[in-house]
Amino acid sequence: MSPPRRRDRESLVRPYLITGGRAHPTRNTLDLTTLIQATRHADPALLSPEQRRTLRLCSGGSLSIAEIAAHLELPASVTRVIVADLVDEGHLATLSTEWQQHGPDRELLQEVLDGLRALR
Amino acid sequence: MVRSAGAAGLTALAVAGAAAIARQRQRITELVREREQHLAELDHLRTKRLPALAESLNGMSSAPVPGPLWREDGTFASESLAELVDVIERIVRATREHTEHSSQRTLTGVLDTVRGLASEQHMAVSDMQHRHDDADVLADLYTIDHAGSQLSRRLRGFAVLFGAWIGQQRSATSLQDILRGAQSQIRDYQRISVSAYSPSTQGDSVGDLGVITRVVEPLVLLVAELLDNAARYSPPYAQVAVGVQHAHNGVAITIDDAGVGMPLEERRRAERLLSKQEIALDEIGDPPRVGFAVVGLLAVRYGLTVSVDAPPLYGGMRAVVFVPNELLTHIEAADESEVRQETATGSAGDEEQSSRARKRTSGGLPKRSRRTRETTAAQPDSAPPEDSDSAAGLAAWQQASESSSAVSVGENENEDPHP
Repeated sequence: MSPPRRRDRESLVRPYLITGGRAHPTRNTLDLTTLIQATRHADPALLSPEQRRTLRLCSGGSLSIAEIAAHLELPASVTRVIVADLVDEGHLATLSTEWQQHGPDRELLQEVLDGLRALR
Repeated sequence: MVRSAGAAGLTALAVAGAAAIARQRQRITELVREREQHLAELDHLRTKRLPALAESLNGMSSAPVPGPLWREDGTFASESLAELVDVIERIVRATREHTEHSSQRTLTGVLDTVRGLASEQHMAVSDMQHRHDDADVLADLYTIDHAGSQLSRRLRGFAVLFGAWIGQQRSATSLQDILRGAQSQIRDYQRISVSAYSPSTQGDSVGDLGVITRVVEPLVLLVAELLDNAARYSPPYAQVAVGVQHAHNGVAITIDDAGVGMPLEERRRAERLLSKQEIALDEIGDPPRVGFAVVGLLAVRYGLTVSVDAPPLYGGMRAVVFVPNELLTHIEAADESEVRQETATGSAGDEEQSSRARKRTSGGLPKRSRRTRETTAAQPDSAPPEDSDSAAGLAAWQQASESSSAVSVGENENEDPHP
């Protein structure tokens, strides 16, 4: 994970306001690489701006929590709270892949390694 | 003959003498009366005029300072006394102004130092929230961040009172972010409910509205002070409702609390402070209560109108902030632009067309899109953005470089490239 970009000013809307003061996500199954996809349409008037943006980001395909956090320019831990709420409401779903269940297979790792060596 | 002549001379002398004596007597009487007047005048000066002058100069009384007892122009006494009073008044005023200025300079200097440190600390806490991916740490950082936001609001309030720079310049910001930014800065932020969102599909909705750069920070501070007051004067379980409404020639931000209302005395004070152009340090009170003083000064300085009243049959207070059209602008919401990115590549639907058609809103407001990395990435001869963590930035850059075949990517993105 790359270090956070240094911001030159404090953001106007603070993270604690965005999550209503909650720091703990309602589920602890979400990590940075968990893939998220939008499942159903939600009434935008009932959502916060960050929730709306998250839904829009995930409506085109699946995105990882880390990517969503980067788009929202919010800390990953704050993004987790937002995403967990939307999953609870049924607007988002996690996408479990074979990769996430078993990890990458040996063959793939070998190919990546070979490729990296070839770059030198 | 000689004798009679002598007698006549004596008589004449006597008459002349008597007349002189009479004149002198009259003169003496006059002098005595004048002296009595002067003494009375001096006494009046000592016991009435000077104390009244002192009170009026100290701002303790607004009653007019009484004039002299006798207003005979041209007499030495009345002129010199008038001059004396003038001199005293001038000296006191000059001293006061000098003291006020120098204490303001000192305070501004002290304030700058404290603000610098507070801002550094706030920034560090922001960075920590990005760096640590742990909910327990985040919970602690929330507490520090919240305290930092309140501290920063207080410091900016003092800056306004001391006539100093209010703080950082921000780009044009949506009303919703303004209200939520203000909400972030008060202690009871969880009791505030902001309902500024309305779907932007209906063209010129409040959801698209924002304010121009110059008034972003002042408006945030102004609303925050009103929210703080509303939360303070309502029970701890009651919500404070914030809304935005279209009004004639502008929008109105309404802040309603369900409290018991402010005591009459407090409301009088608020009304007085809201209409002031300038506020002396000694008007802030002890302990200092700066809220309405700050709101009043900001409103006057930035062309906003604020009213606070207690509507009957309502309970609680209602504060209304009127933002005139000339301070408003159209904001292209971040989520809207993302949709445009998506639709632009695929089926460029009605969304794109309608947003192009909305270059001017129905209210006649100029449209301005928020400056994000998407636009900064399309600057002249920019290399491909290195920190392209957003696909939108890359797409914008690609679009920009395609649109102008010349080497220099146009400075004005949508206009002809340089010859």
